[in-house]
Amino acid sequence: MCVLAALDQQPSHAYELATRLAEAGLGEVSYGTVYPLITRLRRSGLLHEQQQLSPLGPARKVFSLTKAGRAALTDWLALWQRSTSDVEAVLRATGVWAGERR
Amino acid sequence: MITPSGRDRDAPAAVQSVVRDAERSWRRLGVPRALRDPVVADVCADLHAAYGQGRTPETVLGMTVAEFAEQVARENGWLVAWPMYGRLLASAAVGAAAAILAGFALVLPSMYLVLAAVGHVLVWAGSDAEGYRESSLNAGIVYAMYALFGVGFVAAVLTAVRWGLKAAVQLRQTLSAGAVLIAVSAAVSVPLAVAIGHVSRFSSAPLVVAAEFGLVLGLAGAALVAARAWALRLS
Repeated sequence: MCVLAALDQQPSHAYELATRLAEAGLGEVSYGTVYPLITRLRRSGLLHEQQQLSPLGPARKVFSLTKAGRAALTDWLALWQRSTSDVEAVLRATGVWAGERR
Repeated sequence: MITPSGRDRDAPAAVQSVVRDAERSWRRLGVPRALRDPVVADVCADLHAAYGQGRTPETVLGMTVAEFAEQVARENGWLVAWPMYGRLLASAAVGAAAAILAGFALVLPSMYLVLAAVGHVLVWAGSDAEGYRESSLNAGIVYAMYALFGVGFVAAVLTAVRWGLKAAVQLRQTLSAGAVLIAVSAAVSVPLAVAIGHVSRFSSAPLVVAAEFGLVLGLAGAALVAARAWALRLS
């Protein structure tokens, strides 16, 4: 979901995406983790790739979301919000939510 | 500059080394070049860009090259039983060439030496030397040496295949089936090659020799391909 969200915000190269995810607060995200993940998403039809010429080296692939990728992001976001609100409700009910703990 | 394998030749040596190792892993799995080349180019370009920002390939990957190559292979659906017919036949050709060269260099001279030695022993023992040349003992020795060469040929071919396909799945089954099917192919092709020899009055004309070798080697190659196909059907 984080990969799709980052690519929805801005299409990127695999290495650039790893850097952006790390900078966004996901901790140390290696290219070795991101590249296989991108491969899976691309094979699932959620990502589109396009060759982009680079003035500094060989042409590189830029990944962006397909229509199916945007739909998947929307679904996963709704699922995430629902599950986090459910967990929050349980935490509030049990009194362990930050600031409400007795 | 981009090499035929997709690697960026201008990439630093550290990047080239990592990419070469990853590519070797995929090649050992039997991933066809047409599939692995775009990925090689892709990874090489990304690692080259990262290197330009002062990050070594090892740091960027965050794991060993073998682990990275394995994950990429899994996500690409490459962890399957590839037929690898091209490498199978190329390896077999290397083994066959070695066996044929060794045959001409060792087996034929040995055969003449053994025949001459047995002849001398028989003459010494008082037997008829002329009769010996036409005897079944002489023919038996010749056929035994040819059989020995045949066994050595099959062993050399299978050893070369084992070396060439060492990372391939179903290798043991391929070799077992290959040993049987090559023997069967030889049982068909050798009499046919001998028949061609008889018809051509054992001519050494290049076309005749090529036909005889082509028949034996072609059927042996077909037997190997059939063995590999059979082994893959079991997986």
